[in-house]
Amino acid sequence: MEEEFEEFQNQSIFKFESMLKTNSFLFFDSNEFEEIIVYYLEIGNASLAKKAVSLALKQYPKSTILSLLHIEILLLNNELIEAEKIAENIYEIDPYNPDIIIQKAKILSKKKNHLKAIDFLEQINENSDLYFDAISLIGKEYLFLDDFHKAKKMFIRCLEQNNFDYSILNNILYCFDAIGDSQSTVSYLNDFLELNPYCEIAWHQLGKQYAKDKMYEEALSAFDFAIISDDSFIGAYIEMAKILEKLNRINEAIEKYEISIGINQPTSFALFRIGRCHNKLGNHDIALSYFVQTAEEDPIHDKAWMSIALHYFNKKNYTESKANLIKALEIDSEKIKYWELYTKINIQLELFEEVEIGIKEILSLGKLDINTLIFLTQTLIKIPHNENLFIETFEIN
Amino acid sequence: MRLLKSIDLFPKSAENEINYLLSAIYFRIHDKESAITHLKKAYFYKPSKYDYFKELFPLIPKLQVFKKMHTF
Repeated sequence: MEEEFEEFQNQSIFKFESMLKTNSFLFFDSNEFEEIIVYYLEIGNASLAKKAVSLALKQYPKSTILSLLHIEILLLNNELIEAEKIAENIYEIDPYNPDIIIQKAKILSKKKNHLKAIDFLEQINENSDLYFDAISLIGKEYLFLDDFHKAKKMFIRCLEQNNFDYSILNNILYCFDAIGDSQSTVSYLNDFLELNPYCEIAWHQLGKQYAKDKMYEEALSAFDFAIISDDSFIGAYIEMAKILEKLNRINEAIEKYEISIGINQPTSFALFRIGRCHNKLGNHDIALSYFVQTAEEDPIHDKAWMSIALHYFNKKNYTESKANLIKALEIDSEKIKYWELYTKINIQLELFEEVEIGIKEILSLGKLDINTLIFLTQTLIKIPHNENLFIETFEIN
Repeated sequence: MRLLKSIDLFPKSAENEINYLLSAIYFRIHDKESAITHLKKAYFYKPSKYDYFKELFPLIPKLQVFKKMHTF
């Protein structure tokens, strides 16, 4: 049935697009136009959707469905006045049509009249096909009003209608998070998992909640279940690895990061974390190879460049260290740690003018902690011929 | 922003470490009197950090020498 629909839709799209290309005129019935417009809305091509709706309404000006789609497109473009005009016309003729109620509510929402939007949406009763959409929209309206308790209630009701709508589940968890009651979140997720034991998203969220509460063993079990539910769920492997790192189970963490890389193409996040793990194990050369891969994968990963720079600094290869550090500084020049290393490298290279630049940059950042203060004092005392800088920095005459 | 101004902004808990640093700075500019004053304050409240700062700043005298400078 679904294949037939897709076939029908593909043929209509092909016909519509070839009509546009050849500038000819072909006949479409209103259902075909509806499918074409829905297709373009779904793929996010608002301009072709607009074109299709304009042609459609020329042929079928009295079609309510096409007018509703027209409102949808106008709302996408924030053309509220025009949308409202059309909505009012339809509403006058058919005030009980749930589609027009939803569109009117969307217009009110865009106008930040959230309470009135909720009033409208509440008119849609449980027997309607659009009841699910209505309560989901009510939940979102409550989110706009920062009423997380009511929003949560709506989303929970929504999820009871459709257990596998992950965006709704995420909204519920967002509400729990905003309310700040982690115990209730855990208890809700456990209840949800009783009914949906193979919902990897819920296991993943439960794991994250446990991790937030520093219940690491419980978190690991939850991520394990997420993986049992879907063994290609990269997020669960990554979260598991992060916890294993915290528990100092570095080899196991590496293993999990590597699995995540094996499932999909490598991510700079996982590559960098593997590098850090190898550093912790003292495998500095292996760590370097991962930091290099991270920088190749994501050339604006400043931490990767910094780690490469640190590696070469520790190996006393100051020129190489500086070259890599400059890349990190080009990406983020507001990290004191980077300027500290810059200063240290230049002390080793005896480039004291650049040491001075480093010191001035650190001072200009102004977020000094005691370690930075010690570092600056040490540097200023250590470097030769620094009288002016010393006096300028300490304002001592 | 200059270093000494930033020192004013530090919390009270860092006061002793800062006194060690100020002592090193004054030793560096040969203001021995100020250096000793700050070192004295630092050592009085945080004697356990003396060796640590001595290692970081060789300008700070050895503890025995410093003790001979002042009677506590």
